[in-house]
Amino acid sequence: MTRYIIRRLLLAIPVLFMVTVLVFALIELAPGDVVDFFANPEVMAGMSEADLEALRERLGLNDPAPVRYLHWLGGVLQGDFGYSLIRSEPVGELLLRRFGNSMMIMGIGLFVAVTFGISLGIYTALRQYSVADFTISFLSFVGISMPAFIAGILALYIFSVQLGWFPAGGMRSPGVHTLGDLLHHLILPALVLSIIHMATFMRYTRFSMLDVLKQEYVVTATAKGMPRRIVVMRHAFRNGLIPVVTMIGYSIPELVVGAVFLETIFSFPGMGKLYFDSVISRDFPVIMAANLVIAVFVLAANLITDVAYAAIDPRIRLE
Amino acid sequence: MAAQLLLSVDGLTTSFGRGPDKVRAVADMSFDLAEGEVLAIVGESGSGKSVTMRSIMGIIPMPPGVIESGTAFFDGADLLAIDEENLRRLRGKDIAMVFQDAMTSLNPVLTVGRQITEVLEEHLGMTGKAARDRAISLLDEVGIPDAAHRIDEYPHQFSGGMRQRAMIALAIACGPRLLIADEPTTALDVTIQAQIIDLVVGLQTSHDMGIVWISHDLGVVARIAQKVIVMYAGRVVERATVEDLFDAPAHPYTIGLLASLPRLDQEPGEHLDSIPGQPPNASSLPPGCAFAPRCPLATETCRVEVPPVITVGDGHHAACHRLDEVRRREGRLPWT
Amino acid sequence: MAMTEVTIDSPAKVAWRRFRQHRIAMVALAVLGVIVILCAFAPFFSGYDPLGLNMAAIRQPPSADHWLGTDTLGRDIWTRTLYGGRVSLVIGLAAAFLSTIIGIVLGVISGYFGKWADMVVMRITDVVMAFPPIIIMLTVAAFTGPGLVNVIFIIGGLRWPPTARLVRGQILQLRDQDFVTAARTLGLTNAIIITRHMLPHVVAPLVANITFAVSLAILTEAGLSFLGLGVPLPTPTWGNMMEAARDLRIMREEPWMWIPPAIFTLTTVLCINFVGDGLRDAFDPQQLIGEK
Repeated sequence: MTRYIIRRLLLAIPVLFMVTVLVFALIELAPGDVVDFFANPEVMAGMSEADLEALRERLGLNDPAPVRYLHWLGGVLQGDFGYSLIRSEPVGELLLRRFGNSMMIMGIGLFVAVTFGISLGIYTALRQYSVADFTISFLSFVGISMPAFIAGILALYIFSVQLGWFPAGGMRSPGVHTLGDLLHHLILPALVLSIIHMATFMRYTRFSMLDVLKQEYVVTATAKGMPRRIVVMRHAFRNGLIPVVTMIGYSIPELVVGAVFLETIFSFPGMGKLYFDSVISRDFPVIMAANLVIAVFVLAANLITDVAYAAIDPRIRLE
Repeated sequence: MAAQLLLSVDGLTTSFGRGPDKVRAVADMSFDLAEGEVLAIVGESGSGKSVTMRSIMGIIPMPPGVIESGTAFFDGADLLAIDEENLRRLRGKDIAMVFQDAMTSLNPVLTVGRQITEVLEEHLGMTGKAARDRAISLLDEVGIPDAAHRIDEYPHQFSGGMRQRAMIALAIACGPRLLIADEPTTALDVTIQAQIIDLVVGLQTSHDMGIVWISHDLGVVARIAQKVIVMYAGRVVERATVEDLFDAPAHPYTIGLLASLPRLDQEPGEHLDSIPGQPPNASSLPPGCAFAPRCPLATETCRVEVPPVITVGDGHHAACHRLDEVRRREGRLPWT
Repeated sequence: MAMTEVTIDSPAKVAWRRFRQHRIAMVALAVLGVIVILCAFAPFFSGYDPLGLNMAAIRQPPSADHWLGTDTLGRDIWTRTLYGGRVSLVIGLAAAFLSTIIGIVLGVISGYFGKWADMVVMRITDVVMAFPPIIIMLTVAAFTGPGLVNVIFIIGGLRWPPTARLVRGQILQLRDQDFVTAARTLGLTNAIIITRHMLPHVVAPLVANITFAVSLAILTEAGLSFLGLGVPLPTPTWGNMMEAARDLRIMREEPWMWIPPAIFTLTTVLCINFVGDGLRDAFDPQQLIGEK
């Protein structure tokens, strides 16, 4: 198992390297002068060509691209992501704080989605063709067709604006620092995020369980006189879970995308909103760092998925 | 002296689907099995032999499966009528089953040991070390070397023959009185087949189990069974002791099956007969004898009327309109 | 017993027959048809100019004159929704087409030629997939600037990895089959083996994939435009019309400005997905074999 994890980690290194190249290249390949992207137009208007040149020199922008790449990478490896051009704060600290906030939304969302999605999937698989199965399956189809931002604005409109059950945005009420207040702000965006993924997990679990319940080893378990509960949970579910785990891993990028939209809609100070704001204001040190953090997060999620997969399936673990 | 009756099946009829799509997989199946007796049910795939035993075990998928009628008495209880919970308590304890393909029949994510100990836990209330020790001795008994270590391995780490041995250990774990073996050697190499058959024969003697051995292979049947039932398209066509069946087969289908077996006393180059045609599709059975379209002796009666079961000798029955003709020809049929 | 006549239908015919039995998919197809007709022939269903400003009638709620009301510049919402649908659907189809073509080409290269070609393509796929698509699209969109063509290229250029993986998997399976070996033994060129002997087998699993790609592209465009990084105003698209909801005052006071495009987007995407689901079942080879 340890060897398996190490091998996976080694495989991730070249991908990670390519990711840093891509992150750098994205900024580099952008048309126009790099200086245009981060220098505030109003400030720039008052600058002479000589001032701009001095600025480029100071930021090392006159060096060739590979040199700048290595310079940037060197900083990143030491945890130095540079300085935000807009927020006058080190990018690392900014990202760390915002990432923590996002993890609350994504964590709650993913937890709810996995628990309810898998439970509903098992429930419907055991009652195939029933009214409950049909209804839940239909709703799940609506769920997977629903993008996060439309679900977000609809939820905000219905539950915050019309019903007034939740605050219309933000993370805390001004001056209030209680857990209850935090949860009150968190719960709507987190639930919206969870519902979309719940639908995906439910469909996969149902599909997988229907397949597994037909397998011969489930017949064997029944023929051994195991109670139905054990046949379903110990014999069918442990096998049925294997593809679902992969699906949970694959859904992490979509989770991040959902967070970008929902944090923007709910004005929640997470990394998603930071990312969006930075894109709009072309705060490129933040964009690069956020891209990198998100990519590492996705790769780490994939790695955890692979490890979890191996933990459930001995055929992989022991190969 | 007749031994005590262990299982008595009468008039079992099982079908799949409903309405115009209904397919009758087993029709009016009846047989008795005495304690300690070995009965073989022989037939081509789709003949209903496996569905018969799975109906009795209550493990056919329902829906689409429906047990339309029949009784199956085991130990005074009708297995087809008792509630699921009571049937469940019998399964794996008094009636156990070994399946054809141990690769797909063993759970890939549980260790072989766990799959045995859970049966011991469920039916005998054994737990922890006691269950583990028992499982090791069971694996040992079925001839798995180094059982104390291999108990913690997964099915995919076992070879095909070893997996089938583990499957057998699982089946005999609670000392069943009836063992149903559903083609347990079909998926194995010939040499391994012989070992598994010897193992089961040995266990049958030491545990005094009744066995229903399902097979399509008459050669295997001859080595293990005392009584044989031949099925064709969901119905019993012949029922006899092994000796009678091989010496004096009565039904043209049985004769055809035997004629297609290679024999040691055969002259080199001698022609092997084979039954022409294909077994019928269960969804479109002819109205009369299902074998009529392939039978060299078939008459108009055969095509429209289901043949009655006729007693040929002591414990020897066949369902055929043309038994007299078979006898006149001394079992030599004009296969084309 | 009469012999049943055996006729062999083309796979497409069989699939269509099976698709028609999928009731929800048929309904979805009909609804989709209505939406496409409404959008394609928008001038017939509305007398207004989608870009025509009318400062005398701004922010009006739905009325007999303006069925779905007007926006902040007095433009008719119903008209803009229909014309916006044109743009959204065109972007969806074009971007899905682009990503499918890229996916097929890279999938074939990777699956058929294997070795280092496979290695390179799969590593690129890994890297692209390490970024959530919209994230990288936001960055690219921010630098390329908003615009219809840019949006098509951004979506098409970044949504291909799932298609490439699917095609690669299919090609890998086919590559070792006897008829391909036979074709190779006959000395056919790779181009002919791929286009004539392999790609036809990939079509069936790809059909459903393409429909899902279309709905995904429509959603992606809507998402980018919603954030102001897609198609710029005044050209209407469902996405940039919904951008109005980012103003809390409009969201609260003037919901007619953003609810119609939201409903149209959801209905369209849901219908495309149902059609895709029906197609997947219809082309499922396992079910084809099971059919008598």
